[in-house]
Amino acid sequence: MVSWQTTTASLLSRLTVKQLLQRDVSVDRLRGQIGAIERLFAEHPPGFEVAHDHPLPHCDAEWLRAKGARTDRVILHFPGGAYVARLPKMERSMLARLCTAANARARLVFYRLAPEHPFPAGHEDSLDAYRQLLDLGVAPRHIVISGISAGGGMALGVLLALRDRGLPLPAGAILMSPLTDLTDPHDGSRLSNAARDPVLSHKRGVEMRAMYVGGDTAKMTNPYVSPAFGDYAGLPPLFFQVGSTEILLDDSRRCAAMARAAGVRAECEVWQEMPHGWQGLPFGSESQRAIEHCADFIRECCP
Amino acid sequence: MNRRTNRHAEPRIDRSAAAERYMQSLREDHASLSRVLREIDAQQSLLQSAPGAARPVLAEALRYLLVYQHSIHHPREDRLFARVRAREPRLYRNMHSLVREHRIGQEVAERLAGELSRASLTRLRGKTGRDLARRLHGYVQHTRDHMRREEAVFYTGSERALRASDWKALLAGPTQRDPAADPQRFAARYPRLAERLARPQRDVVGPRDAPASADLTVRLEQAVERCGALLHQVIDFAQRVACASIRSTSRRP
Repeated sequence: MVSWQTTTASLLSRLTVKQLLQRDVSVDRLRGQIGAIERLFAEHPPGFEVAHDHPLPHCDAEWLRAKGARTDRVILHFPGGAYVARLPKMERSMLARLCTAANARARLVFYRLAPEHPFPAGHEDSLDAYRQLLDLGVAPRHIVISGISAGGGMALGVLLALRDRGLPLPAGAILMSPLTDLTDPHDGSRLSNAARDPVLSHKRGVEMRAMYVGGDTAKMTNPYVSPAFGDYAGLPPLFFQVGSTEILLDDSRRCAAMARAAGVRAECEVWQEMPHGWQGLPFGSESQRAIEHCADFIRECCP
Repeated sequence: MNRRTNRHAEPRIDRSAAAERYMQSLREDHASLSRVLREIDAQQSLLQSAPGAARPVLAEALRYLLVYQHSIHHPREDRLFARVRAREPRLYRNMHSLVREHRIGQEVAERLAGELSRASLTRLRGKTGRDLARRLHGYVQHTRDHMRREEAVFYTGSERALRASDWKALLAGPTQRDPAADPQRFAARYPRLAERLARPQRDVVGPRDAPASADLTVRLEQAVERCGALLHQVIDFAQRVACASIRSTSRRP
């Protein structure tokens, strides 16, 4: 049974966020209105320090860790927001809960956004962030990559690129409702869950995805853009979490199946009736439970 | 980049090969335990709706925890606690609640396993099932929190406090392997649990709604969405009217 808090969040999202994503508004207005959701969250998660040392060359990044904590594990996190917007306070709040549960610290990477900076700008920023961790002396076996929504697609794209470039791979990856196929196949869950999804909508999907590739739709089948077209051989363990009513449900299922076919340990947790990005909700028992499951996975692949 | 002055580099602790080996074995125990806890948490959410399928998996998971984690892993940690107590009594004072929790955790797991096996399927579908599911979730939460505190306080403290001779003595103690490290042996002893852990996809938070109820839910959601769209159209219209009215007012002499 879904908690009343998550049910209410889904209802409100259906009345606001989904409507916003369906309407013909400018990117600036979209960012402004999505940013209004941030009022729900504190600037900094209580008990955590946010540090801005070790800047990246082209984008902002920050360290997040519990005050006084001492741990080897590092979560390298890529935020969501369809590659055009973001919710930094929500991402910080979710990451803080994940860090607490997994006894880890986090590096939050605000890769450059489209349409101002189309692919590969954000992808290169994310790779820079991983390489920087290695330069800082963090062992790959202590790094877990994570991402939510578009950030999940980014995380998978980064993993494929790391493998292709021969760089040491992290211990595992957590992919929360990842967007893995920008070609938008109009079948499967993209079609069957179109009405049920309380957050995402197709209506402006083509336009927003085109922004990420700078209008060059041929790039949409590039595995670093759409990891659903990638070869997963040699990747570390992958952990997918997705809601059963999401239009992105098949993005996770398909990639998890491809990874297993390539011999990679890949798990896919389908959470019944959960909305897109429920892990980020600061209330509702399902959000905390999902975070605890992610923390269990971190402990498993990063002992 | 200078790693010595970098506070985000890995914490520097004295890690002899023996210490590394012993602590790694404890951390790997936690890794196996986390995997099973995740399954218990997924199964407890199905206990009331599908007790016939969830109970055998839960029973094996609890048996695994009792046999391996409580009988082998915790005694291994307790030996470490004892060494820390001898070397740094002050550090031990922060840890002794963790030792007590080992005993309490075992008692809770035994009690839950017993009640789970005794309850009829009918009772598991009712209040007994709801109560057991709640307590199983509580047990999982408590165990996760316990591991977290061990890693944050006890493990890092031990690595700092103990000497090479301590680690050698600890390694010379009894060493039994986690059955989860050997998939065939694990599947032979815990077949239902092993089958669940190997599943590529796992459903969490209860079963799907019944078809009739699901249909109603979809209709309600569509109605809400139409209301939302209408509401936004009304807001847009009101904004346009307000803007036009302000413009016409400002044009008046």
